[in-house]
Amino acid sequence: MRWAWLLVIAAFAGCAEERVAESGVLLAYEAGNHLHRYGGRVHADGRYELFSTDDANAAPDWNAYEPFTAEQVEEIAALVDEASRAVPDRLEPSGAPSPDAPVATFRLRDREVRVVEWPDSAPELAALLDRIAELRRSAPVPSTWRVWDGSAVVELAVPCDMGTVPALSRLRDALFMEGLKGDAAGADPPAGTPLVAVTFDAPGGREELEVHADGRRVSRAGGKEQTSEVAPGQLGAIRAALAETDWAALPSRLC
Amino acid sequence: MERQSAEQTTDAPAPATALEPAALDTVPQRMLALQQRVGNAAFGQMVGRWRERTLARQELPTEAEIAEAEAWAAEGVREGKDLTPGAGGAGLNNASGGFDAKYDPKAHELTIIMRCGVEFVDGITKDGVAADGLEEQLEQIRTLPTEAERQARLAAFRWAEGDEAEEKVQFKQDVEATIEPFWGGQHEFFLRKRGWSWLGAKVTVDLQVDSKSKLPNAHLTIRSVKVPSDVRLGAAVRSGSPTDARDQTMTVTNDVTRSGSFLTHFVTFGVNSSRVEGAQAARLQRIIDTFKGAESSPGVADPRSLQTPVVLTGHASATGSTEYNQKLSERRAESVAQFMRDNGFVNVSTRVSGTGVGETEATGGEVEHDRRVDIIIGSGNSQNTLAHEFGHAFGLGDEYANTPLVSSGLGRDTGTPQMGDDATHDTLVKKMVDAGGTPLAGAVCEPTDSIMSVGDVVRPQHYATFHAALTQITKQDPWALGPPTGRNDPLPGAAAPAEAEPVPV
Repeated sequence: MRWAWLLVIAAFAGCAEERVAESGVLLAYEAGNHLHRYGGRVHADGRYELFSTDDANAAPDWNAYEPFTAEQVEEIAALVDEASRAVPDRLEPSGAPSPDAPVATFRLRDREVRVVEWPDSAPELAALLDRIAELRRSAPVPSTWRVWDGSAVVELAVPCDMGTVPALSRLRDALFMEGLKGDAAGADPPAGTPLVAVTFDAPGGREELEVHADGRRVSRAGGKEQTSEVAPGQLGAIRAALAETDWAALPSRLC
Repeated sequence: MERQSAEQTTDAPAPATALEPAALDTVPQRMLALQQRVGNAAFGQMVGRWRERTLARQELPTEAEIAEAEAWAAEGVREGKDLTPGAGGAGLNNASGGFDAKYDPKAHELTIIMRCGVEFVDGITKDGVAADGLEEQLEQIRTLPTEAERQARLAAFRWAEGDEAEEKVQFKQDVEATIEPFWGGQHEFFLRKRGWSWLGAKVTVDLQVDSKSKLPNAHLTIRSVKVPSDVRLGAAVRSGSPTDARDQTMTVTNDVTRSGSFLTHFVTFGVNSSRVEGAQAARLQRIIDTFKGAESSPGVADPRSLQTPVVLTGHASATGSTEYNQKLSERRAESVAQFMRDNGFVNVSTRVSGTGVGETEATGGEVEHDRRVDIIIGSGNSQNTLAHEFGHAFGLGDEYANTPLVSSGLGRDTGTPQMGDDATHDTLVKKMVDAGGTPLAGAVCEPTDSIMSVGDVVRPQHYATFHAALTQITKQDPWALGPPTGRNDPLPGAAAPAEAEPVPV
């Protein structure tokens, strides 16, 4: 009798394992409306796939991205189970759905949940995707900024994600955003000294980016150097961003 | 010109008649005599004019009626604040709308005023969080080889800093420049009451677009998500409470020209073949099932269906003789029309027209795409996404429906309208009348070239909430579609009285 129970338990356990292995998907979702559809899925073996299309009738064209680690998969599995316990098969707004409201279908292991007016109607599932987004965050790329403040070069260490440093916002936009324009006068640095130079300690190695007062943009990465011209408007935006901050007054480490 | 010639005919000396005047005792006899004298064509024109004159006399406004209208107009501008005319509509996904309206009788103008507060939303935030639907874009950025490239791509998902950043100012201007002419001036109304019909209402849309922080009393919050031009993202309007005119939220991208194309299709053929078969037959069937129009019963069009016309253009490849290819392209167009007739497309004979252009557009050689029939539904134009979403902000519901090529597979349980469902503004449309006083049929869900479906045409029914607002703020009814009349004119297109008076001869 005891053996029989063990066999039954083993059979159930085997079934559960098989179900995950069979489908291979811990979490899958598709969302959108007739204008745009997108989705993602996390496999039990850590594979992570996404799709995005403006052809609402096309089958998803899944693209694989860097897989999750085993620990991350374990966390996602727990979150999926938690969400699955928390939500009914169907989630919808309290009133009539809004026009063009996105609709989402979630698969939580083998269970399907339909969401009308995604994501507003399904905060539990939105939180699940938010956590996955957190897990996908890349490690911050530390950087060092050398900026010409009109009289001297100021060096600033940014060991965190530069996007979290308000003092760098405008200069970052001026360096990387197309179409920005600005106009500011100021003393140019000595020949050979850039207006701004950023060094990234990127995962693939050290990278450098310099913008000079004559408009030259020099980038060095992977042992290669490339020189291009910054548009006059963008150079003006860089000068304006440099001029509006008292760089010397900032702490040498910005985060 | 036609009227002038009729007039000349009437004034012309009558030819001799076989019948004696004394014998013409009754109206029919006199009519018959006249018909014999002037001939059938001239007689028809004369009768038409007499009827007009007779009816005009019956419908001419009195001085008192005109004076009453003038007194009302002299009271000046009528206004309404925070109107939600779409509230309480029929159908699945309601849009209540929210705007102010002003009617100026002196200017004959209805102005729809909507304050729009813009929230500029980064598609990927400064610290690297993607908005819904942009997860894959962020993953793709991570695969770029250098940090400088990653930063440049990330920057394309961010708005420039500051409320007065050039691209933000441009966006606000572009919204106004796109929506005001698109939704304004498409149709007009007049007050269809005798003596009042000189009062017209041209429709002007006045959007007041600014940053959300500067417009705390905005009717609509526009969440404009910044994405680069090669990235797609959906759009939607969250209606909020049906009776709150200031809680609508529209999510769109930064690109006001973004559009979706649903109305141009094609099927291809085998070499020297005009048979629709295999995968192409399945493809054509999907087109039929999408655009056949709403039916009240199988094969019978719903009275509200627009029955959007379809134009077929047959093509042939460049191989073979020009004459043969011309015939072949025509046969292909005919074959598609026949397939549509045989497979459920409603009213093919009245809706579908076709032609063949032979090899005139062939690219050369034996290319499959050259052996095709183009299928253009209605205007065939793309739909500006922002213009469609503004329709919702004005209180209109969707008119598209779950069909193989639009919202495929989404049932009513997802809030997606099905073919033949009432559009949410159906009841408001039925309260509208044409110039002659006949009520409009209503609005039904079906994929068409209408702006609230999947096309770009603003039809009278799409002024239903403007019409409701006009009625509400003026407390006058009925405002009919069409231009105003002259002050002393009868109502246009009035129906003939049940018992017509004798026609003078």
